[in-house]
Amino acid sequence: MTLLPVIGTIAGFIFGMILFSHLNIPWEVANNYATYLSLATLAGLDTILGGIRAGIEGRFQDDIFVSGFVLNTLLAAGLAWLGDKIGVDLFLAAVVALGTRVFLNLSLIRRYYLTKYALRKKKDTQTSNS
Amino acid sequence: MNIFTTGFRHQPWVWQVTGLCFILGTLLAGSIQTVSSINRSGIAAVRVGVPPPTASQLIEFKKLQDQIAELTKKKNDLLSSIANGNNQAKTLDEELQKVDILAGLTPVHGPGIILYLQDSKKTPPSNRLFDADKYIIHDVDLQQVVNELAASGAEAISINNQRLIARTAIRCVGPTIQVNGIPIVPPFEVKAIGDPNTLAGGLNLPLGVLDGLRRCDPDMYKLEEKPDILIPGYAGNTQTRYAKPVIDQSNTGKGNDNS
Repeated sequence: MTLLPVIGTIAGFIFGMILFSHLNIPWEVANNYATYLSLATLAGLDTILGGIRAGIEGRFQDDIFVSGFVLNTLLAAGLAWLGDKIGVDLFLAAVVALGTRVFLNLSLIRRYYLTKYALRKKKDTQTSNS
Repeated sequence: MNIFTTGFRHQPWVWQVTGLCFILGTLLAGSIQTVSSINRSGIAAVRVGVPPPTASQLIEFKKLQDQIAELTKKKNDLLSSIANGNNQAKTLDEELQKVDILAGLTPVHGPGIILYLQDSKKTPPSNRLFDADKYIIHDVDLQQVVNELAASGAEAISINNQRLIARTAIRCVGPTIQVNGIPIVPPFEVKAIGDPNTLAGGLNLPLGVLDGLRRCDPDMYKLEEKPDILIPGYAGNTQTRYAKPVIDQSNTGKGNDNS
């Protein structure tokens, strides 16, 4: 059950691979929006890790999660677009901010699992001793 | 409530995360596909940089070539009609013929050799540049062949039917070699008119042009001695813009260079 998000990602990846290979986007267009799409992907990754963290901490709210996913994705892409228009590499701001949060959330999730593992081990030794 | 003790396996948020993970996976695949398509098209864009000639261009090219042949024939006819006149004109025409052959403007035929050169099909022993380089025919190879042929007394030389004249340059331009400004690609066919034995002997000199190729891969060249071969005339631009003939013959030798 905890592997469901991973399975979802893989399924989505396969779906996307098939979808985009059939779309046949001309490369002039692809060249223009590649940065935005990559940034949107990063924003999506950030929101999902944030959601998992919130779920683990027991304060998951579905409206915040879904709206965060959509808005962060659009905002990151929009920021990159704005940066292109005014000649400042604004997408760097998004990359740094999102990247920091991705690592932070990931470290908290890792911490949670490590603590849980340690607790279970302790409990096991206690039950076997008694 | 301790967050480490409550299980979340059956909580609804896992399903929502899974749903958005699906979308994330799609975005990820889209990014990868887009970037790889950019990389692919980058290469393709280089390839399509020079579009192949269209059918109408090919027809036009053929028509212009025919026109050149027709005009050359007309010119020769006119010259021979002059020669039919008096003795003086006949001498003049003979002189002109000699000059034309020397300048490479008329097609000529006679005994000679045909040398075929092509890149080796062998795999070089390593990918190092100096090794791989030897297995390809370069502009330098053609220059050496031409030089050797001229030294062996060749009277007319052509490479892939491009007649070599006094103003011919053989140079490497990207993946092709340009002769008279016309790009040519392997296999190369070098034709030379002269004494077949002398020409072949010159090319086959120990440590000569073909010796180097033979050490690398004997299949890179094929040398044939022929009793009669045809070499086309030079069909390019013959105008001179800077060089002017010296009219006053008594002035020759002095020139203007010490003024």
